[in-house]
Amino acid sequence: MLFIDDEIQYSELTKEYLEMKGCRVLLKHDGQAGLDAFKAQPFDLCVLDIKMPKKDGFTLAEEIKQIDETIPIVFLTGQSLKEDKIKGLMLGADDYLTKPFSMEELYLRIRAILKRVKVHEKTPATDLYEWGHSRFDPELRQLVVSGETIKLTSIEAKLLKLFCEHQNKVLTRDVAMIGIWGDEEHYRGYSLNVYVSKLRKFLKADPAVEILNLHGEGYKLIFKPGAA
Amino acid sequence: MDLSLLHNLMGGDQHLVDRFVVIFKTQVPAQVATLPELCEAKDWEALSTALHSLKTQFSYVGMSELAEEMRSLEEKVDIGQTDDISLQIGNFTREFQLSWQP
Repeated sequence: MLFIDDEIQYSELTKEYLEMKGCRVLLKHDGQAGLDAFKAQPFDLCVLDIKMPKKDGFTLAEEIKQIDETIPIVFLTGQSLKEDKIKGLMLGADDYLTKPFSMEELYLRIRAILKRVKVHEKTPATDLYEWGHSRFDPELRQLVVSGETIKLTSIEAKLLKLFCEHQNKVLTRDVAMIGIWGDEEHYRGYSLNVYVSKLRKFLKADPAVEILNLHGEGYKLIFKPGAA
Repeated sequence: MDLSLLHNLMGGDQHLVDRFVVIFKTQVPAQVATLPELCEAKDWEALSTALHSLKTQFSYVGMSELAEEMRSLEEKVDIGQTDDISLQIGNFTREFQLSWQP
């Protein structure tokens, strides 16, 4: 998260506290430095003091929202003025803390916001892939080919999803293996061929699709126009 | 100094409280020392920000009279009552430096 507060003492210790709780925090002490930091890298959330040198928190929030309108913002203020709260909320603030604030309270509020944001991120419209006589639902790990429903294993579904994301493009062995097994220790090059063969077998009944071997490179899933 | 508020705010973490006090004792006198310069330069925005920051820091360590004095000065600067602000800041700075015991 990006934390911008000109009160050096308390903010440094708050950063330390949040880091002890497992947060990754970049701390800046004025509005301009905060904006520069925001432009330089992505953040999950911003905590902004309102009264700061060079650029106040409200102006900064407006500029941040112009760059990323979905970024959650928590305002900190030394005043409990109703107008400030309203202005902050109008700017899209997700929460508001009046100074002096408890570090634990800030942490709990940040955690609640991030939890809420993650719930929203986890519920996008489900990707469905359709071609020729086939339909693939990665979420359900279900492939329907010419009316026959095939329940895929987790690895088969991951691989087919990668193929769909790279349709008519090269899917290299490295990208496929990292996409399926993650880190290098779990590379299982020998079995990738086995899973590709299984997918070919499943898709055999659909003439509109084919998985090609590209020697020394990887594979390519192609759709054949007019074959359906 | 009354550190009970700070203790609560920091979730009872004595290590953090101690560190705050050490930094406070170093930085606050330096911040106070800048106030007359900001007055002289008529940099009201920076003066207001500095007073605002000091106000919160004094309140963290239970120095409520000083926090109130900062709040009052900040308010005057914010509403443009700056005619006698240099005099008031000068008096405050002198008194603070005389009474400050690190």
